[in-house]
Amino acid sequence: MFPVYLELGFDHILDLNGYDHILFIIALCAVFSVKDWKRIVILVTAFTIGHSITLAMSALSIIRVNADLIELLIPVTILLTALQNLWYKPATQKAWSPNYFLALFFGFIHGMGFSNYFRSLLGQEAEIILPLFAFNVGVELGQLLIVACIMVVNVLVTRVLRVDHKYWNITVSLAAAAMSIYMIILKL
Amino acid sequence: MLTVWFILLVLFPLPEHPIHVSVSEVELSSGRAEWTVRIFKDDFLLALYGRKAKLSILDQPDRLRADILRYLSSHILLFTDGQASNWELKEIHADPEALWMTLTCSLADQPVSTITFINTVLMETYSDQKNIVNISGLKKRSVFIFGKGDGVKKISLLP
Repeated sequence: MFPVYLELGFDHILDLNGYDHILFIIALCAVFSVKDWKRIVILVTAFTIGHSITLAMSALSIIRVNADLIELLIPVTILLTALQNLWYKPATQKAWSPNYFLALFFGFIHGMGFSNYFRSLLGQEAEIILPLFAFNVGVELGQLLIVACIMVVNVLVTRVLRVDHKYWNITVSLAAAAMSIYMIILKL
Repeated sequence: MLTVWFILLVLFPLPEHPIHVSVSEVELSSGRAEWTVRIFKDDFLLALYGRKAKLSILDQPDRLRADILRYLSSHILLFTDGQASNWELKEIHADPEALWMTLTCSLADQPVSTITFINTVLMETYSDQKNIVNISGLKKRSVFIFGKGDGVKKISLLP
């Protein structure tokens, strides 16, 4: 059972048709370079903890979510993350600790987005904890793969093409912000 | 401005999270198999009757038993040692979103060495269709995912 739900979680986060989760992770990582890997791990873990909590609560029917509202809030989380990147100052790194809480909070919203899909995977079986855990691990592995891909592109752009990291961040963040605004407008 | 908007829509369609999933519970017991499958109503309607049919016809699914059995029998197959089983439609239960349909068949009484499961439900309708099948009644509970190009699973019961 574990490998099946792990595969489903992994495939779900990497599904290009539902690229909003991928875009959020891209925005989340835009301000960082490879040398900041510890902070990226903390940030992605905070996001994972967030979406695991709401996914579990929703799967166990502790909370009920309005799917349309969540689909609207997800691009809002991308927009806020992208805008926040534009005010990023590497010199004031301590000011970034609230980011972890923001990633956690935004994780709550994305977890509610995952829940509709997850609940549709369950049959009549009473067992829910193991599928839920496996699905979350799959999502986490998918996220880590996305982060790794972003970092590879980041290295190519900033070290091989010698583009200043500041311009990489601005370009990626503005692109993410523009796409999220476009999504919000279409969903309103 | 409209042109730009159109180009954006073509290049970046809104992200979608389509749920093209069916879930089955298969219970194998001596001499008998029972296969219950849950399929979302809108998807099933599309597969059965195409886009013109109205969803409301699935409110009374018992009237459509012949069509449902024909569809399920051609997409869900179970072979014991290469011998195909003949399904009967035992019951249909509707919830607000989906239909739960139970098929039953007799199995050979003598010991079986392999069981082959085929599940291609909705795969002709959606390229990303996934069919999850939970199987109980064997030594341990098994779960399989059937996808496009991967619609056949075989279990060996040999020691």
